[in-house]
Amino acid sequence: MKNFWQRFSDIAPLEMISSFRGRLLIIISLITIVIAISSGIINYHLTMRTARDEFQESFSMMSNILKSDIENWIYERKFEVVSMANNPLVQDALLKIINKETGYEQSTNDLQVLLAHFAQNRGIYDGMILLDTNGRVMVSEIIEYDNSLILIEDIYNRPLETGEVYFKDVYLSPNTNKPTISISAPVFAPGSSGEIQNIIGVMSFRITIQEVLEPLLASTANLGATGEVVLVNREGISLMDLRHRPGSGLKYQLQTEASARAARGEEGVGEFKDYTGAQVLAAYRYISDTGWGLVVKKGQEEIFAPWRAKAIIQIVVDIGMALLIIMLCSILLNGLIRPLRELTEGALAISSGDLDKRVVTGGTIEIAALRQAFNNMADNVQNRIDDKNKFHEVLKALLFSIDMNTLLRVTVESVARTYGYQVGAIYICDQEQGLLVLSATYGAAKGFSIQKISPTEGLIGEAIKNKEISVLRNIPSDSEYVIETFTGPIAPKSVLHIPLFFEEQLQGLLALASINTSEDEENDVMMMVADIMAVAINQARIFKQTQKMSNRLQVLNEELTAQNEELKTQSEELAAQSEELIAQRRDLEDKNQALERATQHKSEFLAKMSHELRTPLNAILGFSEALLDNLFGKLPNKQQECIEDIHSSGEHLLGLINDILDLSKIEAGRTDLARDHINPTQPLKEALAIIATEAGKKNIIIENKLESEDLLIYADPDKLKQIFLNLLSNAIKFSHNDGFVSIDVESQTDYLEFSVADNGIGIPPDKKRIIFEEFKQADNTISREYGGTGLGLTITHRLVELHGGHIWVESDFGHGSIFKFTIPKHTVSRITADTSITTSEAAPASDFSEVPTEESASLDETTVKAPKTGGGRKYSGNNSSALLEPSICKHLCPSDIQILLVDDDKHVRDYLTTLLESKGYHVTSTDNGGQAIKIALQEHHDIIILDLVMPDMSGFKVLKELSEHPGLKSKIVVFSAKDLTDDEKKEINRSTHLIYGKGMLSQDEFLSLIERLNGSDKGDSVENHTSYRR
Amino acid sequence: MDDDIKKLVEEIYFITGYDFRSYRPETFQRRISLRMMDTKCSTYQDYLIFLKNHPAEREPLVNSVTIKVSHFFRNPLVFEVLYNEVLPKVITSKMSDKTPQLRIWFAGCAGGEEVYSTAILIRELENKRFPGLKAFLLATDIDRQALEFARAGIYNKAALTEVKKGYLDKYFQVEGKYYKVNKWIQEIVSFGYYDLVAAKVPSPPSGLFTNYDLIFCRNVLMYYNEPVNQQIFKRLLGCLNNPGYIILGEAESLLPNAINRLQEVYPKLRIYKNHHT
Repeated sequence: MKNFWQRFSDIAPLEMISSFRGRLLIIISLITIVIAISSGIINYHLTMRTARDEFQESFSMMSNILKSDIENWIYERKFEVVSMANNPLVQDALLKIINKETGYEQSTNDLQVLLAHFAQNRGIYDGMILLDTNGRVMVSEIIEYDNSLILIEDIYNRPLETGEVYFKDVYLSPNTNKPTISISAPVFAPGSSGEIQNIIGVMSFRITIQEVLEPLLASTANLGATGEVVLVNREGISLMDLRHRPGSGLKYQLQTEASARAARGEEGVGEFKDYTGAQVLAAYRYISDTGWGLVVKKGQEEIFAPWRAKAIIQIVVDIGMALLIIMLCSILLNGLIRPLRELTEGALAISSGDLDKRVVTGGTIEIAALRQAFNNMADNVQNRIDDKNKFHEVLKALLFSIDMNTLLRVTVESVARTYGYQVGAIYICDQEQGLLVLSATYGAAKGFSIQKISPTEGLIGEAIKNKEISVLRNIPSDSEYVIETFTGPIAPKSVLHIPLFFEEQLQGLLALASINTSEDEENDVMMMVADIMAVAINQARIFKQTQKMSNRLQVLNEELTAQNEELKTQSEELAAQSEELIAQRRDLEDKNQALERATQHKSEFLAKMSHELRTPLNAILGFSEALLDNLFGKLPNKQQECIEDIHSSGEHLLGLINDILDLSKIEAGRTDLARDHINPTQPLKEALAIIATEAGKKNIIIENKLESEDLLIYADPDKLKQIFLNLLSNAIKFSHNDGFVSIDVESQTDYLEFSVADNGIGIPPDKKRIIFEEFKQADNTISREYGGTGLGLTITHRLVELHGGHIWVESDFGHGSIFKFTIPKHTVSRITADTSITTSEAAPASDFSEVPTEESASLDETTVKAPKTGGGRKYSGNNSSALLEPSICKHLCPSDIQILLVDDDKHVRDYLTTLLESKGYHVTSTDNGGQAIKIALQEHHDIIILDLVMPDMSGFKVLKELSEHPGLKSKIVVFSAKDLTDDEKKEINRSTHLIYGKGMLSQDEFLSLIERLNGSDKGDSVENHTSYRR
Repeated sequence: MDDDIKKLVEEIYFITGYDFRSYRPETFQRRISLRMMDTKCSTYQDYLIFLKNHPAEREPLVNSVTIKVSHFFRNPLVFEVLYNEVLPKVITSKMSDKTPQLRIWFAGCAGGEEVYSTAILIRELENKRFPGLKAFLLATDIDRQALEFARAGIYNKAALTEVKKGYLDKYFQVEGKYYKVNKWIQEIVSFGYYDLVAAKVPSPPSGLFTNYDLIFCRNVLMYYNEPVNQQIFKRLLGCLNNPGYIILGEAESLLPNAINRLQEVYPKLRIYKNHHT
């Protein structure tokens, strides 16, 4: 028992809930306790009900007995009074006394004795009197009453009136002041029948009920400590002193239900509250004779106390039983759970490392099986861990070193020892020899006799081929496998050969020998060991190779470092040289620019000079011609010759100047090509017409093979004519009389190749290259002999190259020469880079200054080019320098200039107003055409800047209206974003000075144009600057 | 399906030069399908033929495919540098003019957030450092809808989260749930249609002149392939004053043909300056 409690209390609350035993116990406890409690409660209720029923029955019975007792008692009393009254002795004596007959005193005495005796005998009555009809006491057992009048009249009146016995209900006796009843009966005259007129007196007995009834009632009812019998009259007033209210007789009206019912004449039994307020069981009866109510009651507490005690004892017994059951269950459970606990402890022990722990076997069948299974499992785990530990040993050996020899030595020893082999050896595969070479041994004293094994032969070969362990068992002791060990020769019982493979490649062979017979199960383990050994061996092999390579690399690295140093030195030298070169190149660029500028200046100078020279020369030529025409009279022959000389020299000089002018124009980049797709025959014909006279003079035949050709080239016809003219006049010049000149053309894919051939003096081979340079004729004497400036070919050369073609000469010295040149059929985007002519397109330019797209390159080059980079200060194309040279323009000061600005866009007006005003112009602006016309006509504006697209009146209309006012002197600049058609352009051109597309030119350019406009008149060069490009 | 989309993107790249190859195919597919519905083309092949035959289709195509979500002062650091460094430098360099007038071009202005942001900065500079400063801001785009939106200058709250409270009170008026840029800002900004790739005019006509001090070209180059980008760059460089700045988008960089001409003055902010000063 003690043990049980200990176990029970050992269980922690949590364990109580979570353990199987605890749960079962809780459940059983709950069930038994519930059963015990509910059965107790039911039992209790049943007991109490039975008690109540029994009591009610016994109370009923008791009250019935009491009722009949009282009725009997009253009947007896009445009977006694009547008997006494009718006693002839009494009648006679009374008569005597009343009549005061003789001997009445004796009679009185006798009666007195009789009554006293009777009273004594009965012990009930406390007063017995004999009255006369007037209510005077005649005789009494108590002498003092004699002759006194009875105060309570009905005691004698009623019997006198009715002639019957009269029961006077309880009243308070004036003498004793206690509840009292009186019974009185008429006394008839002796010998008379019971008639009223014969009544001679009244016999009355008086009873103090308290003293008399109480014992009577008490004797009948077993009332215990709280029980009481209560008598009440019709008014519910207690007739006697109540148990709990002494002295209450006839003074206290009971308010209780039971007494009320009894007083009403009802009878029954039930549970009520009594006058003290206590719960009572009460039976009530009605006594009809007297009109009394009888209540027998007893406190419930008292009634039920013994029953309740009984029920409680029952409950206690139930609970005790329940506890007993729980205890038994617990003991039973403990018995069931013990094996489980043992198993748990075993498992805990194993898991904490005590692998030898086993549980006791036996027990019931189920438990025994469980214990056996547990022990088996523990055995397995132990085996596994042993395997693992062994494996771990081997692994440790394998990780011991990366050096091949150490690795093999340590490994073979570890494997053999761990797995219980006495002898072991490792053979490593030598790839070159294709043999397995003994590399490490364990246990053998003198080493192995077999140093090399072929991996393809015998049992070993078989094992290697199948990648399986070869096991020899039960080897006879006299076989070749006997091995010398340190402890003497041993004859192994089993020999294992394990091939070591890594990624399908044979690494080596592990041989093990044991004096015990090995188990087959070990083979799997050994295979695993072999796999890992193979990995380790491979690793070691790789490490060896890596080490070798690393050494080699180190050497290489050092060499490289040395080379690097050398290279660095060289590189620094190169860098230094490069910097020098850059400096030189910069110098060269500077010089080049200076040269370019010089060339430009030279050309410009020449152009100006030629112009200046031509003017006086015209005078010389004009006057000399006039003299030769004899305008001033005929000249003497000598003078005539002189003048002719002057004239011819002048003409020569003019030719020379013209050529220089041409050439310098070209070189200054001012020659414009008005190129178009043309037929070259027309310019040729014109050239031939000019040259015809000259040819006729020398009787030279010119053959034109072009005439019939249908050709097209992209060229400037005037310039082409000049080319032909120069070449033809050269040919004629250097031809002998009656010579022959022919012109031919050959069509190539992209260009036409023209040739002009003569059979003249030809060109010496060493001069062919210089004839295209300025002032270089083949021979200085030529100039004298043949005339000419020596610039013709140079100009021709430049013109051809301007067109994007080439010119060259083929000549057989003394037999004539052929000049050939090419002209492209179509546009060429660039002029060949080797040309020395400074043109717009050969000007130094970055990528960005190129015309943006292919199409735009085909635009007419005579128009203004797209804006240049940056601020866009430069124009490409013709006239740009003139345009931007302010010195040329003689314009007004901006502050004198009034500008009218017409544009519907407020932003445009605001912007341009600010811009122009910042330059000093006066600006008036308006947003509609109609207003503009009004302002323009009212006030003079030097310049009107006009938008074309406006909502109310278009720019076109404004222009038209303004042109109808010839007096208007304003210069009109159309400034619009509109994409103009050719027709529109033509129309506008007539009435404007400048057309300018929005977004086409930079702000500075725009300002320059406006500035330039000030100093120019209509029809001046400005008109050519139409800035529309379409 | 994805393959078809890829092919379509390649073809569009080949025909128009628009480079949508970096787009997610699903996005592209969704957007292109709208165009196909509008043009009543049932297959990608049909649409390609339509595109080849109708050069005008290029514009709606770009509009429907490009993304135009932006907000004020996006990349706040760029605007910080603009306000404190770039703009003052440019203005100072023009101080020799009697009335310096800044010219700024937004090539590809989308919803105008960037334009108005810059306009606010200019008004602030005028207030605080350069009284009497004049500026002309031109914003162009190929998307006419976007231009209309930008011109209206009405934005929701989300676009204005980066705008300082003071600016909001000063330069915007509340119109219900929206904010409208006020006249003070609008009067220095002009809008105009301009196709950076195909326009024959070298610079937008609505800008009047070709020279600009600052050119914003943010998140435009990313839609085109390199040859087209080179053309665009050539155009932009042709329109840049000296000194002048070009500002590219966050993820864009200079093309090789411009590296010699420009240098990045503020690392990582894609603000480039003319090499020669």
